[in-house]
Amino acid sequence: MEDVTETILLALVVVTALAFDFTNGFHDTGNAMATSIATRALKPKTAVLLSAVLNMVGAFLSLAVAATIAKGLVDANVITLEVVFAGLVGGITWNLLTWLFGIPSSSSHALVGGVIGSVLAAVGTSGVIWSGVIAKVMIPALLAPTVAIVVAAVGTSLVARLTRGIPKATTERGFRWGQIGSASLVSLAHGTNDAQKSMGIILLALIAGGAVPSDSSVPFWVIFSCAFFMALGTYLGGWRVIRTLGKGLVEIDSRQGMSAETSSAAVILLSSYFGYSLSTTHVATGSILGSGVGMPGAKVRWGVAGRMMAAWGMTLPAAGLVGAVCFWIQDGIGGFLGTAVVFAILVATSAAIWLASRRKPVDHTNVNDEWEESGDAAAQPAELPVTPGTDAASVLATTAAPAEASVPTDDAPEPARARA
Amino acid sequence: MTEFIEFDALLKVVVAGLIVGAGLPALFAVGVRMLSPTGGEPPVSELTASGTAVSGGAAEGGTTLTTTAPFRPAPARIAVAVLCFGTVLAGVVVGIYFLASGGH
Repeated sequence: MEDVTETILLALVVVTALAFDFTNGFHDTGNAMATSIATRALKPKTAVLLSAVLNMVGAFLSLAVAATIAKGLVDANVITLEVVFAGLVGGITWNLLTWLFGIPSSSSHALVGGVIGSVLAAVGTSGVIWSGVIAKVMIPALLAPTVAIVVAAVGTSLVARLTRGIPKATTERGFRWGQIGSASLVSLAHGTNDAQKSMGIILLALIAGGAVPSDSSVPFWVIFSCAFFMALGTYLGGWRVIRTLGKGLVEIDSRQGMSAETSSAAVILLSSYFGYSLSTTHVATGSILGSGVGMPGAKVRWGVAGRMMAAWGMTLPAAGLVGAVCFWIQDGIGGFLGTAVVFAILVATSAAIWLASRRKPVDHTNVNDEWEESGDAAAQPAELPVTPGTDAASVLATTAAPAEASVPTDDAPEPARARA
Repeated sequence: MTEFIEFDALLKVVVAGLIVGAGLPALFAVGVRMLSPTGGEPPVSELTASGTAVSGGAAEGGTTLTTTAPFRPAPARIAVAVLCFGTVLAGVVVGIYFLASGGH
């Protein structure tokens, strides 16, 4: 009996790790493709397909680092299957919540937060290496967007000067190619880096569960399933996040798009080259902001950016809280039943978040609609952007809230109505 | 603070990031400019539709063709453009090689 429950526990951890892997792809599609979708360099469906394929290829590209989970952040000795499981649930929950609100936030930070929370719940503060958390997670979260803003702003401003006087149609066509190329590189880098995190977790779980020897390399089915679920997540596309990145922060043209994506690719690759890895999401967001800063006359919506950065600040504590609560529930009920209950809660929460998202769906049909600040949307409900003849349109027509689809955040309608 | 920020690595990322991340788009822009009729030289008039195709810039759309005079860039400009685009492409190849070699 003991063996059977051990096996089922292991299976639950593996499934949950793959689910995290899926949300990771899902959440991060926008990092690479939001700008190409916003400038219409690629059709939305083509963009997510390209990104999915490149993520899949990227996952197979290199297995040099099957990254150990939260290395240098928590005491490796306290990592058990239960701790990892609760941490994964924390990471998934935060990924789904931020997706619901259309906020790009770092998937790896969500996972790290979840694991730190569950370690805190399991063994207390002694299990967490705080200096590592500050130096490797919190400070880079501030530095990554800053560096990316500077690089992308300088790049965009140079490009704007160099293309002055050239007809817009000419630059659009030329830069779309550059944009697609650089965005592809970002996708590839994402697949290589992030799929390995899930592989590392699953390998760790397999070793802890005794399914493979401790010096085992990553089994092929693990590589394949991680690559597959990340690609699947990428293909389904976190349209809400894509919309915020592509339309919410800055109105971009393809020159800005190319500068932003090149800045992202360069900063991501160079930072890992110099051993100072920065979060893909933070870099990509910073680059897009920078492309607005560097472009003369471009409007940057700092309010949207501020809301996003507030969410980044909350990532660790929020995912950590979920991780801790999950560990307590798991530990309180005890044994296999505890894990099964937490798993059921995860499934129910995910379903609830998905249902909530259906109230204002964002998909490939309306991802590029004009971005409207909440006030505009509420004041002029009649002018809501509706793509004719699409599912989204019929959904829009049958739902009542005034800020439909144009504002992918739940908090927007209330103050907007008050003002109106 | 210093124990929490690796200034050395950070500085390298910023400097190299600026050179590559801002430099490549700038080179690309130079390439586009070289192939574009408003790059500082008067448009050459004896030209065919293939000239606009080479420019890689002029759109198929009718409006563009009417505003953009038919144009074939001088060989020197094409050479500079090829050099620019080639450097950008090389940058991408180096990036892919870096990923594949497990340097991340």
